[in-house]
Amino acid sequence: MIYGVRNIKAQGVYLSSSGIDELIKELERYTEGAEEYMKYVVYDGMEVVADAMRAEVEGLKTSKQYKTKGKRYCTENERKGLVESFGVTPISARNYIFDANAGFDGYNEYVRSEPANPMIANFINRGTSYMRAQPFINRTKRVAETKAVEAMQKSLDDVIKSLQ
Amino acid sequence: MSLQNKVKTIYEALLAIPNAKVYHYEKPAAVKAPYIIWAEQGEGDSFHAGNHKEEQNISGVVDLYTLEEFDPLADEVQTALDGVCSWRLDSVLYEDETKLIHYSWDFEVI
Repeated sequence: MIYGVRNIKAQGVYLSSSGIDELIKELERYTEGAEEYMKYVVYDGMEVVADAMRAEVEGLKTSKQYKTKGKRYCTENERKGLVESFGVTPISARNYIFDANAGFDGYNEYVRSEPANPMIANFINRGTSYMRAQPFINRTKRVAETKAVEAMQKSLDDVIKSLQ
Repeated sequence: MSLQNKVKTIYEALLAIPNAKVYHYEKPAAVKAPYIIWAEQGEGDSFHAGNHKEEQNISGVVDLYTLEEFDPLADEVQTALDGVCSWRLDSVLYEDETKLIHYSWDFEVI
């Protein structure tokens, strides 16, 4: 009887230790290239945001297309500067926090005073005393947020599946 | 409270600011800075339950245009909005062409 109990115990220890070994191996497999995998996942989310933002910028109404009595829309040149300066930063990874930004860079050469593109983007998004607001950044955030999260989830699932 | 009554509370709060020029949607062309323009823009994060809108949350913007540096009117707008709605100073932009300082608040009222 006593022998039987010892045998079962031994069997139990053997089984669980094997499980832990496998689990550790599995976890090691995930963590080894984790940073690269996560960058890949964030990149997929960023793609959705960047596409949405680009579509919004290209769809901005301009004062040439729409004549208005009061405030004007943004000019063709202001929009052109934004389209050309739009970009995405490399994905940074600090303490396993992955981050990427989409935005506008540099100065607009098509406008005589060469204003900064981020400033023009802010002006258009929020409106000014002479320009109508077209909240395209807010709209992008609203539209792309859920889609980006979904894309990243799908990408993460694919990565984990490929490692199993 | 009805939609229009919620929106009107913002208007009343802004109108109570002494010596402020307050306009809904747009200002007449002749008006000079400083002036306040506000507008409701849509629904915020409302509360739904059981296929029913329990609480409708209206969002909008309040814009203050001023030529004065450190204009106390910006503080007065914030004081006026406080207690009436939840609000956030979204941006302060300097217009180099017109020399105007543009304060912009988002608000949501329940």
